[in-house]
Amino acid sequence: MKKLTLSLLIISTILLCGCWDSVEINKREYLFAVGIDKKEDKLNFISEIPKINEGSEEDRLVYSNEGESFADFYHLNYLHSDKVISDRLMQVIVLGEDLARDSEAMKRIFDEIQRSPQMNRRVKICIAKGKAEDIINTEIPSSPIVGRFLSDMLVKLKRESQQDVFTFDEAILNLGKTGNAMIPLVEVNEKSLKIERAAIIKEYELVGFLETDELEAVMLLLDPSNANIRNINVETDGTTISLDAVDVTMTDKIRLKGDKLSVDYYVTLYCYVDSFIIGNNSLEDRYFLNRVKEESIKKLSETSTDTIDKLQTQYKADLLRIKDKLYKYNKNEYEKVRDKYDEIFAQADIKVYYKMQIKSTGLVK
Amino acid sequence: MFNQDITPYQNLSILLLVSFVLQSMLMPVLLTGVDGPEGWISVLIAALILFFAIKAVNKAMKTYDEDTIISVSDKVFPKFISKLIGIYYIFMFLTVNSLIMKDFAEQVKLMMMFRTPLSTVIVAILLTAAYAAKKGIHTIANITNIVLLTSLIPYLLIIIFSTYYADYSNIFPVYPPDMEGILKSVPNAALSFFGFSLLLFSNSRVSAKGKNPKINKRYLLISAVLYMVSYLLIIVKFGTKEAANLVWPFVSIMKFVNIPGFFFESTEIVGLCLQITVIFTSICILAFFTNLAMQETFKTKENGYFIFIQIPILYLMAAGLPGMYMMFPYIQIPIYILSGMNLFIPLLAAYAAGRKYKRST
Repeated sequence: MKKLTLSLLIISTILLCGCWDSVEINKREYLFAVGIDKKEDKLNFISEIPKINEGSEEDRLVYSNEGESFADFYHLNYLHSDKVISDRLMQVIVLGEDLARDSEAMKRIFDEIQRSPQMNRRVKICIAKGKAEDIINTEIPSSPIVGRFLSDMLVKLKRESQQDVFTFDEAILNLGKTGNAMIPLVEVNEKSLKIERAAIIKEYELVGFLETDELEAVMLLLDPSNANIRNINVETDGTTISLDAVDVTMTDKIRLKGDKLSVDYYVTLYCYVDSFIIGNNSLEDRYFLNRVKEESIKKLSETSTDTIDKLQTQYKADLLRIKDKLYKYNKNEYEKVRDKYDEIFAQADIKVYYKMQIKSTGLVK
Repeated sequence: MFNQDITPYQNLSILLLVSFVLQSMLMPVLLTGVDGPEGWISVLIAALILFFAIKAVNKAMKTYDEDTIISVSDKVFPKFISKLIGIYYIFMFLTVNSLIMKDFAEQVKLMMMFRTPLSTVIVAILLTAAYAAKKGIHTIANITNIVLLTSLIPYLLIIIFSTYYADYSNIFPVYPPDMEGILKSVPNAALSFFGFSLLLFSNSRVSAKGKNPKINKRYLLISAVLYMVSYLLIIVKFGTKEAANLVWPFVSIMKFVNIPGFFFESTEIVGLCLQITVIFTSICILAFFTNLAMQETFKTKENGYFIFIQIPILYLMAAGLPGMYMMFPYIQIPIYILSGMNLFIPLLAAYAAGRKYKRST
């Protein structure tokens, strides 16, 4: 019996070698970025492959293939190249604007990425203003590999809380939870790329864009502790003063009574004076500082009100995740209005109350 | 032919490891069963029920501490019933083992060896596991102890590291709970504590039997905590809606491993490698106890050959059964039956043993 078991085991080690279908690293092509555009009834896949195997970190190949799905794209690549394509190191997926406006196509793409055992859910995602092909084809002199450039940029923007979403995982989780997501919008910027704005995705469909200041206003309410507000420049008594919010605290009150939703945000900004003007001693004047605060709050309030109004009336998209908070902390009331939440959100009374404290004038008075 | 004795802590490791494997396999059923993140309440209720059951069983079985549930049944029930009980345990162990094997083989194929036929993976696991199980419980217990330290703990750490960028508010709402879903999921959770069925066999193989009640309770406590923590980790990472959509939540969560300074081409493979050892060991354990159940039901002297008899049965069952994801819509009633039987049989045997003891004194 022992001999039989032993021989079975020895035979199995020969037959069941796990590496029999392995592909050596120099026989692979690693995708760094994939752009997807809509092309009539099909999809156009633009792939960026760095020439890692040839020892150059800065050279790349850009292929373009038409297909109906990622599977088609991989199959065609297999037929068109002497190497085996691999998406294990894929950094970023760029979705073209036309594709993002087609919810059916978006759902198919998202489903395929989610379903794939090979593709990592941490792959970064962004929407292209215009065609994804233009984004992938951009020649950036300082950083020729677009996938790496976009990946580093998205990580930085997420870390600094300039963007809400940077990975496919976050996008699909937000869409699943609230039906809405803000996905970074990438645009060609002369010989480079820029990500200043965000695309509003509602039920897997691109419905509009948030401008930079609007995005900041939303991010401030979503993640106040990490919010990265641009300098607040106000003109008081004929002089421009620039303030930097170094710390932000926020509390919110969400009330749902029947069909009436009211949300109050109370935001406190702790600011430093970034720049003023040499020779002006107004910063020592308490009343002057109060006027500066009033002007700043007025400016911030205007942006917040306009942004919230845009979300409520134009896009009917709850990017503030009020729905999620209602479900988590007021489930009883939320269940009653679950089916008509979009209407209730559009009619909601959402207010942002700002308070400001100037903590320091910097290194000089 | 086997070295029969294991230490109480080896027994604890065996019970914990097998329960963890069942818990991760049945996690999707729990995640879909409750509308909300309150599935952990089902686990808590199941653990409480099993706590009282373990207490009752240990108390009644004091006089039969050298016996397994089958040999106790032989002494307290008519032969026909004890044979039925034996056949039930054989059938249950074989089914659970083949399901684990099938599920695991599918994971390996999908994530690591795309072009290797599924049956090849199953045969490879089966032959190796059979060889290890043939070495006896002492060897298996030693392997389990090592695996617990070298694989299960790092595997759990990987899952914890994977919850980077998780939303911890996903554990809400707790109130109002989905009571119907919670109660309906209690049998699922109870079946996941598979160590409860194993301890009815493994307790008789422990060298210091006086420690069994304490070790059994400790097993239940640790296993319940592990189960609830794993459940909550998945919930905070994915949220209730997305979590219910996943076929293998543990594999999916491992795609997010983010350990600063580490680079892996495919992060989930690292977790899968550790999972291989965990699942492989539990297959060995189950194969051994199936062998024991067969030996006691059919009352044979030479026992090791039942390991080999299991190979074709397990292979056919694993190859024939659909994957867990295909079974989700139909699995609820079998779970109720298995869970009910697993609780009912030992309690009935304990009751009968207790009565017999009272009558004799």
